[in-house]
Amino acid sequence: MNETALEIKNIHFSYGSSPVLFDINCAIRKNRFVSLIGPNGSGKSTLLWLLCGIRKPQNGRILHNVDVSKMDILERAKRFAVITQKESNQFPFTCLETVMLGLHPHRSRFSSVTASQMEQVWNAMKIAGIQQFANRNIMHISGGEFQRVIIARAIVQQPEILFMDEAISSLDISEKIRIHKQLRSLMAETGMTVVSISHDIDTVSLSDDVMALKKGALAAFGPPDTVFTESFFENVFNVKAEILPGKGFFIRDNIEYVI
Amino acid sequence: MNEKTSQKFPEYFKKNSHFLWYGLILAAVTVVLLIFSLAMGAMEIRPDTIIRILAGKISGKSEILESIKANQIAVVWEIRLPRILCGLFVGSGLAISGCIFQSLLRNPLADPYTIGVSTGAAFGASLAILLNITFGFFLSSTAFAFTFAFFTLVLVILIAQKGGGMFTSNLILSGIIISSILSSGISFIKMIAGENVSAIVFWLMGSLPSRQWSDIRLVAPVVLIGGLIAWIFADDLNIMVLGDESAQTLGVNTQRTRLIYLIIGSAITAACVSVSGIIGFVGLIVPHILRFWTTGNNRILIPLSAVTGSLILCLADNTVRLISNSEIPVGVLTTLIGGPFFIYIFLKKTDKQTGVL
Repeated sequence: MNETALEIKNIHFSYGSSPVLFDINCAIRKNRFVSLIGPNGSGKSTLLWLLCGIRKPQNGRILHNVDVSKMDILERAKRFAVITQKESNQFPFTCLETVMLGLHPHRSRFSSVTASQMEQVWNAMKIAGIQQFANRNIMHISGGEFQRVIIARAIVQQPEILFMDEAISSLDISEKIRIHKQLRSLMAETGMTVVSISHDIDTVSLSDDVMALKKGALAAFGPPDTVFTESFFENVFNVKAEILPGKGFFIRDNIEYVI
Repeated sequence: MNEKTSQKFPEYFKKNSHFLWYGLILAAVTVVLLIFSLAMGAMEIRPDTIIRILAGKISGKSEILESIKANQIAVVWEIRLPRILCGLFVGSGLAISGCIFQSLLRNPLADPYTIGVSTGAAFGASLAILLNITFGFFLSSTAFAFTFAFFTLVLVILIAQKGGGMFTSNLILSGIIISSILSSGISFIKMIAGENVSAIVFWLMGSLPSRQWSDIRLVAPVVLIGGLIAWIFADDLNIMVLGDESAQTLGVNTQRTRLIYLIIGSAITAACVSVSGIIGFVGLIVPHILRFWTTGNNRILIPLSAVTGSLILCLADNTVRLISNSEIPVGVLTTLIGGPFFIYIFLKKTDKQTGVL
């Protein structure tokens, strides 16, 4: 299971004259859960949009066998699914209808939904834990519930790589852990790779690899136990951390409470 | 769909089959209303005579028409039917176009006139009327309206493109700019029309009398073909509602889809406005209310809006024919009734916390 899912070669990207990413080079292996971390404004979301091919780097290439920015849009949607935190919908679709949109890349325009596709939708809703409100209007559900609807829709896409931009950060802790476990078993079953932006350092520790960005450059890449050192936290996040061998770490910094 | 799967989402399948029935019932009501509308008017003609005239004309069997007076045939076939069919197609077209623009611009309060295509049509028609009056030309206001509507669309797209891309906000903004300029142009035309301004004003108010088969030949194919294409790509339109980035991750070519729908929506609007003037509120209210009463799924919403739009405009046109001899323009009635009705819906349905309709 050491094949490469994404090869990132000399990526540079800038918005107008403001450079955002510099010379990113690394390889994401198949079937790994990769967490993309870094301070605000370090270029995480931009890198994610480049990796999934929605934006094109000014320099360098991202390869998923072929250059992702040159892949056919429909072909790409069959292989990559993306969950963002920004998505909203002002139109009265039900949760089920929203999840069913994930079938779009796999459906012909003239065919109706097949029984096996409905089965797929059902399973995805079960994984996201939303089958009980399939017929509820998405405008009448909470932010966390909406996020789970989007997760189910991405699973329905049956992607080879699932990209998540803080997709589970708005969920409560038990739901966060449950979804994480479900994604892990889906990965074991289908060989899926996950690339996830997260600020939750506790869930990041559960990932296979950590990819850390600082001011648009790759600061570290590797399994959490090798990346997470006291100097790493100091250097990337400018906080003091204490590593407890075999147990994890905790952030220890001078905090002043002002009342 | 096997039984086991439909059992997992019984409500979904039940709801969709209900919508199919609503559509069929509304279509049947529209057909009955069509016959009833043909019977209405100064000359009394019985419904069975009307059915015979229609059967004879459509089948081409002249023996069916032998026992019917020639003036009755002329009134039904040459005067009333073009007007009523025109109403049906315009109502249907405006509702489909409203449905398209609401989804495309991601705004449930958008309507066929939002990006200014209708103002282009109005400018073209006003110009043709002015030239006809002033120089004695015989220019077709319909053809002028359609042509100017098309140029307006091209201009709106070009400005949006130059202004950073064909995104929702850019399209609305360039639509508003072009619309404002053309509105001033219309005011100028009205001013130089002098005493003959009433012809322009009446056209702008939106009405259906004196429609001819040539009008049907313009509006019917555009509405039917445009509606069909809109329905075929309805899944893409559903996804466009999620925004460009999400739509692309689901495999939708957003630039192409937006262009296709802009052309379809604008062509339908242009054809409707060209033959009937500006009829307000049908294109806003019908898809808006249906969307919140039934479903946001455009695959269902487009045909349902089409049938409801034609039914409502036909009813409104019958009402103006019934209540006044001098014929109030139907556009005035739709706005007079549609406006307050919309306020009622707005007050009843607004989510107090989010302000979302």
